[in-house]
Amino acid sequence: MLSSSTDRAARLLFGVATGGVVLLALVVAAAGSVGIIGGIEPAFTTAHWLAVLSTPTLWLSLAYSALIAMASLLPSVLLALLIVLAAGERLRRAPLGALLYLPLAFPGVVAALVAVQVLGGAGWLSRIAHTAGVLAAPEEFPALVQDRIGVGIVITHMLMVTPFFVLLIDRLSTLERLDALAALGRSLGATSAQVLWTIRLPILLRGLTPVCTVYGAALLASFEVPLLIGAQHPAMIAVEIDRHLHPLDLSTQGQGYAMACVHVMLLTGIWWRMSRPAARR
Amino acid sequence: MIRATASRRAAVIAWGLAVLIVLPYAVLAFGAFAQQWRYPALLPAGWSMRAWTALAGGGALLDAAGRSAVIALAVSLLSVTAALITSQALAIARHRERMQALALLPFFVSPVVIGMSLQQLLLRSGLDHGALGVLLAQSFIAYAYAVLLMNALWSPTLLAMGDAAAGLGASKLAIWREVWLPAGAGVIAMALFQTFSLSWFDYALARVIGGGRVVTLPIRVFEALSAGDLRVASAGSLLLVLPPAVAFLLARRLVAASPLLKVSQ
Repeated sequence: MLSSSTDRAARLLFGVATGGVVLLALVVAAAGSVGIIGGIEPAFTTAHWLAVLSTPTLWLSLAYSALIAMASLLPSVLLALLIVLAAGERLRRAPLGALLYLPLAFPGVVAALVAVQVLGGAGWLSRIAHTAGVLAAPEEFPALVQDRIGVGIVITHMLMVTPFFVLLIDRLSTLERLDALAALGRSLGATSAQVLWTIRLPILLRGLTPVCTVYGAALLASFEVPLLIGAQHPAMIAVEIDRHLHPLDLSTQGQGYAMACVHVMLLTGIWWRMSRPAARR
Repeated sequence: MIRATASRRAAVIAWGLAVLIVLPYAVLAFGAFAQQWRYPALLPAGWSMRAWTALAGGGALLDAAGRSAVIALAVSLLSVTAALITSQALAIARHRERMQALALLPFFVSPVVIGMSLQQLLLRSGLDHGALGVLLAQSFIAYAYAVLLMNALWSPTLLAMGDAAAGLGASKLAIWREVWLPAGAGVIAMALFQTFSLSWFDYALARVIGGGRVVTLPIRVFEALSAGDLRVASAGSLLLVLPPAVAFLLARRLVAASPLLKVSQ
């Protein structure tokens, strides 16, 4: 058994490597936002905060990121739920049982490339539409990549996230023995709708909520996909921060730090809200 | 009748989903092996290895893939070893659940921001922001992930087995070697694979910390895509996704116990 001093050292390492990293991010961002680090000549200033808080860029970017995250996550979960309910145990049979794991091996960079090749002006959908006689030229195809509404980002996120939720919901159904509970409900006279609304959905939602929070936060902070197939303006928050942190003109770097500071505080707040009930349980 | 309709509907959904999953791989393969694929042709006019030779030209492909593999291997070993030891200490901690929740925190913050702060730390501590910096930065994230995975390992039974072995006079090393490591082999293998994948796929941290000097495979794919060279980007993407995809198919248990599933429990 490990000694208590070794235990304490291990817990300290854990705290530093997890909470410490996020704290470091907050400290560096705060220091950069008041001009202590970064920029051309480091010196204390509140100009970066004033610039960030007085222009709509940060708030627009945060709102846009939240909307994209919600627009990606909610339909993905709903779609996954419908797939699991409709396909049932077929999901575990070959070939789908194995194939469902493949999207887990799809990083953002590659997903963005596929989006360009399928959703882009000269992509597959456009080619199919042309072949069907709907389009005369690629320019007539609606902008689904690098569009201001973020349709391309949402579709790409959905394609990446939905299979994960299918696996998760299927796994939760097995772990919670939902089929047995549903059979019991039916034997006691419950209708199919009652089984769905009073047995399946409440149990699944209880299990899904924390995962959705983590995934929502990850989607809100996503980088590669919006960087590659997102519009220049508005940009998702991670892209906006990156743009300000690595500018041609170093004078706006402090604004990037201020945005990073707000981002860390906001997302840490969400984490805090999520982890409090978990800790109580 | 109703049952037959439901069964047909389930089959249609299952096959539709299978096609949707395979489609991106087909798109990548068409892009990577197409000789000419002019608009509005639905399929390439011919096939060619040009993208592969371009990608491999001057050893650039081997360099990027090799660098990615070495970094990922080191990240995987470092993070899983650290997670294995610390997760045992967490498992017997008084505030176990609160500490486990802390392991989720790094996933709430954008890797761009994490990378930015670690880059400052590395610069100020004199460590050059090269491959070592990328390795360290990825290890922090991989470590948190590995700790989440390791939570599945430390059941009360396994901890009690360790206590019993200690009561019989076994040393700490003997408990690890004879009890905990054999019992946790499956979870450890899963953690090694998943942390390897996490590093292998990483773009954001490698970009921010590496500053363009550490060219990993995702960075090379990104460069090709940004330059509009879809063929080279597709070839690089296939190289990036196929090895983990094959591993996922061959050993599904490596991904079956998602840490996020544990979160929901």
